[in-house]
Amino acid sequence: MLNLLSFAELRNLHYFCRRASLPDFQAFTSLRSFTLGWSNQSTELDLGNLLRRSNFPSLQALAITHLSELNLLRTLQEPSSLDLIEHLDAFFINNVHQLDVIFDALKNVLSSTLITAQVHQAVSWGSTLSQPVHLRLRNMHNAIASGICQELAKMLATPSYSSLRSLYLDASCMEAVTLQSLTGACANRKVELVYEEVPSNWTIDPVISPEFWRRQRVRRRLEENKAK
Amino acid sequence: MSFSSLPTELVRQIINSTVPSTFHSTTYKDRQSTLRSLCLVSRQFFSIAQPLLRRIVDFRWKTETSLSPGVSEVAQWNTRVRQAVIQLFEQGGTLELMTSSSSKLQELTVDDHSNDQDLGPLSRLSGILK
Repeated sequence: MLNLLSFAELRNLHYFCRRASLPDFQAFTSLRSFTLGWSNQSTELDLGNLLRRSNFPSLQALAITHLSELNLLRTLQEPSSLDLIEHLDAFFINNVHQLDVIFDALKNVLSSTLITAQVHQAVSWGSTLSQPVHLRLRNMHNAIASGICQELAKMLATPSYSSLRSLYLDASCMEAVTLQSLTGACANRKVELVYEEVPSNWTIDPVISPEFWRRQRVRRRLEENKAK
Repeated sequence: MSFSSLPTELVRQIINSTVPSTFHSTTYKDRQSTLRSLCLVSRQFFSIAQPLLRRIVDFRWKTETSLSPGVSEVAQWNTRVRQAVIQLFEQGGTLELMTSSSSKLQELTVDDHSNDQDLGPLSRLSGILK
């Protein structure tokens, strides 16, 4: 009885690793969110045995960070991993370079995928970005200083980018005057703007932000009210 | 009307709103510092601020200096800790200590610097009764 009383159920696990191979993980029945960071870019990684629904039956959000693009694509080709991702509310990735290839791999789950990128990277993607996807911009302070946000604003102002669903921005940049053209372009194109606290130290800061969970709670409440 | 005459629940709401409710590396030190100061204001403030102080714990300063938190120290904090941040190195049983002692842990951040530390102790938090 005492063991039952002291039983802990982890809801959120953030694991950042520098190892050459993935350690053994157990199944986590209660986990709501899982962030897996992997800084070893040169190693071939097999996440197929880990990322499957039977290991994370309660998972709502998964973030995979710093994985090499090749490892990410390999993961997205695993039917068991794709099955898990398809059942999530949100899937977070970064370190994307060949966006068209990633889009192809994620075509069934694009609407729940949030891609983190630098502003210049987003600009370089050009028309490839015109997909129903969620985009989070990082290193905004540098981008604002360099003026590249204006280029992104011009890009988003064109009709071909109207599919972009939402743009996540660093909350600390909310007052930046130079962002007005970008936020204005989003408003005109009905791209939802979300301000959130972004990771400063990716090894330990939440990649899935408290603002994301707050919005999830609101969305759930609205759905429940509709159902009533 | 003095602050101390406010209902405890209202004071709790005010204190809760003065500090972040989750860990972030840029706000953690200020959060803990603010709560420590609030603990010194009055008994009423202490009773509200101290549990919040122990709700989120960054153990990295210990592990960076190869000083794993001691059993008694973790045991003392365990009933309050909801969110913990730890680092793993080749030596030390930090994960073992955290998982065996923190019965209310809901969020765990592991920055793994080791090559072969066993993550088996995480299964204690897996939500599976064994």
